[in-house]
Amino acid sequence: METNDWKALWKSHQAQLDQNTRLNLMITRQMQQQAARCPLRALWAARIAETLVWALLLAGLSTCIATFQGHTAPQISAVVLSLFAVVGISGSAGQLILLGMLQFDGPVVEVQKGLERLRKHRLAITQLLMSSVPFYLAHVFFWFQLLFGIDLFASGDPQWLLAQMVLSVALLPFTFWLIREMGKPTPRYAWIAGLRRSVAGERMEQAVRGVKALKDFKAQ
Amino acid sequence: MPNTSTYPSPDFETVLQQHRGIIFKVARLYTRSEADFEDLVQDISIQIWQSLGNYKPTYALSTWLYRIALNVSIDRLRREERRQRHQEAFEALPHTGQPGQPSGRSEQLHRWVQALPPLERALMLLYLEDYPHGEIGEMLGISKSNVGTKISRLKQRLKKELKLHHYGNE
Repeated sequence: METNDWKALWKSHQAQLDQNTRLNLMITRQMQQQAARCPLRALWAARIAETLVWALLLAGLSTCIATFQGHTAPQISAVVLSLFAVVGISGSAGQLILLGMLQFDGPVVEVQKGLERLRKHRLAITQLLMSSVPFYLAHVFFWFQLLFGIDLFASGDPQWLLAQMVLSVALLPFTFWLIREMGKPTPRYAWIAGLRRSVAGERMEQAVRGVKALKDFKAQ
Repeated sequence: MPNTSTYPSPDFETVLQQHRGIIFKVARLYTRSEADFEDLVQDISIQIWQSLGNYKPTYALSTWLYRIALNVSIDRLRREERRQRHQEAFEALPHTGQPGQPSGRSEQLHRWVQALPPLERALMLLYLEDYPHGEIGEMLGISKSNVGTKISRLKQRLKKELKLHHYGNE
């Protein structure tokens, strides 16, 4: 069967199917309500909620920075954790800007890439949280001060403190290697892919594969 | 709905009436049930309404509408696939209810296209609708030569598939 035959066959098939398909114009009179069915509504809600959570965290940490006067280590810890919160807010706010700029009438591959990148954002949050792992001491000092009023740095065993600091430094290269591997469409090791899936979810995993598939489609 | 374009927006109802065939074609290709089809038609229509203010006559209206319809459909398909299990390629229910059943070959062609991955499906649809390679490339955001290469490969696959089906029925 030749190409022109396929085209003719296709067009007559579509014309037959169109005969009894009617367009419901009632939706034109209900656009206000229907517009709420924006396919990106869930993404908007998630990013707004995320931005608010980061903002609240930052506000709380800022209060603690002021409250922890005279306790250097907890105060510095709160500053360190605030930096992560600032990065979190920037990321979420950036996603809101991208969402606002997304136009469905753009070239298909570019629009779909934009959508998948928005969905991949959960991975970025995961990577951000993981990057705070070497700074676990900041969490320890901060929460001990906040919950128990104990400045662990001032009152802790110096040898224990030294050991924790050595461990923190040792964790740095491994953590950043892991973050980089987790960002790859196909991580080198299966356990990293498994970890990514369990932490960030199957939806994000599909988004990562989706971006790769779009890049492959665009390549010749 | 703010008009961000310097050109007057086309009338929404007129656009839908005159170009409903485009919406139906795309929605039919990306859904497997009547309920999903109607849902998707509505989603596409809403997005067209929301985007009308951005329309510029530098593109033909049909080209612009295809972009929106394909983007909404492919995005919805990806979201649906995240919730559903993988379905067999030829599980699609034909959209019936019209006088006279489509012929076996035309239904087979439709199912074959419907079984393609989302982007290849869009490519094949636009090719069968007789759009030139350059315009297909612009709609999809890939080069004209890439369109030609991909269509050539898909045509080979289709020929093979039709031949297999023909000999299988003998």
